[in-house]
Amino acid sequence: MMNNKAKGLTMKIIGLAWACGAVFMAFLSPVMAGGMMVTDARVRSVNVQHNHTTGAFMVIANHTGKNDILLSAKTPMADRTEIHKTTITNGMAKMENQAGGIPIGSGKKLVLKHGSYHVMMMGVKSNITVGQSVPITLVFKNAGAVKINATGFKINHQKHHHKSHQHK
Amino acid sequence: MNIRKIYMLFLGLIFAVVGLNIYLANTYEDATRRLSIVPQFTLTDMHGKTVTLNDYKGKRVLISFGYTNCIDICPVTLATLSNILYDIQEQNPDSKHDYQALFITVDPERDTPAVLKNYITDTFHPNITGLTGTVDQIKHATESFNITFEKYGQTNDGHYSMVHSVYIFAIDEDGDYKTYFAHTAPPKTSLQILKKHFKGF
Repeated sequence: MMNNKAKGLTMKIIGLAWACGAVFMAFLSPVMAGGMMVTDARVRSVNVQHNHTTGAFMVIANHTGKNDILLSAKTPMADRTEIHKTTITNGMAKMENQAGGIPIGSGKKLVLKHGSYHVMMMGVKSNITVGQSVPITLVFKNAGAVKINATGFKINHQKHHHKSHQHK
Repeated sequence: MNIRKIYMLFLGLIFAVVGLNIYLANTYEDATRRLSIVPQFTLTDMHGKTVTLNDYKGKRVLISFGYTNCIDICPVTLATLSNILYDIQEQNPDSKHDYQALFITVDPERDTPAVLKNYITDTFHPNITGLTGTVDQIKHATESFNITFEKYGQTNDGHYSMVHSVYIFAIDEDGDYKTYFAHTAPPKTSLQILKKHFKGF
């Protein structure tokens, strides 16, 4: 039988382990929530004096253990946010709203990138600058709302940068 | 391995590389589909000046169509044009030929000269100019390139995108259409296509 002192010590160790775990999870929380891991979240910079449309790109990895569907996205930075897919048919480009959502299988990655999917932000309310953190909430059918921050970036194809292909 | 075998292997390798390059160029280029193109336009450049294709005579001109609220294809096309212009400069710094790229908007309602200037300047190659005009002028310009555009996905709160052609058209120094190719052609392939049509690159 464990005496009271030993019991107390065991509880302390368990408590400490929980605390460590909580701190560890808090540290990871910007990229992982509900098992949906979002990395490389970027949003193109925009000057609202001239344009009110921009888009966000990212990689979403489904570690929830369940198949899921990315249903929608929201941001306080824009009047309207949709999930779009760019398609090219017979040389004609079209950005189509994916109203039914995009499936993301268990253990699979969904890549939002140029020439494919992106989070379309319309009616952007204020400037988005390079390096700025833009809050976006992704809504999944099973995992629910996942809050992320996308970092402002600019495509730059001036002389010193043109080899780097900063767009993806 | 004897000399003959090495020679045959070398020859085979050269054929493979040449074949691959021709294959790639043909994948991105299909000049024969649009033989009837007689490009012409009267538009306003991003500095507010009225311009026609005639004003660019003497220059080799690359033309693409898009709009500044496009967040995917159009910036990639402009990046491709930038890459081509920088690569030509780097490969042939003493070239006697001037190269100019034009980005013609298919969304004249939103893309004023100032909007185009903000979108292009300090981001892409300095020899890229944005052009806009009235809806009729843009229609006339696109028709002369045998392409179409239309509004798409208009929401009840007034947001919309455009469906439009994604090709890059090449016009020679006499204002004659030479070819067109896909905006996704890798830089090396783009240059190879242009070299076929622009003599004395």
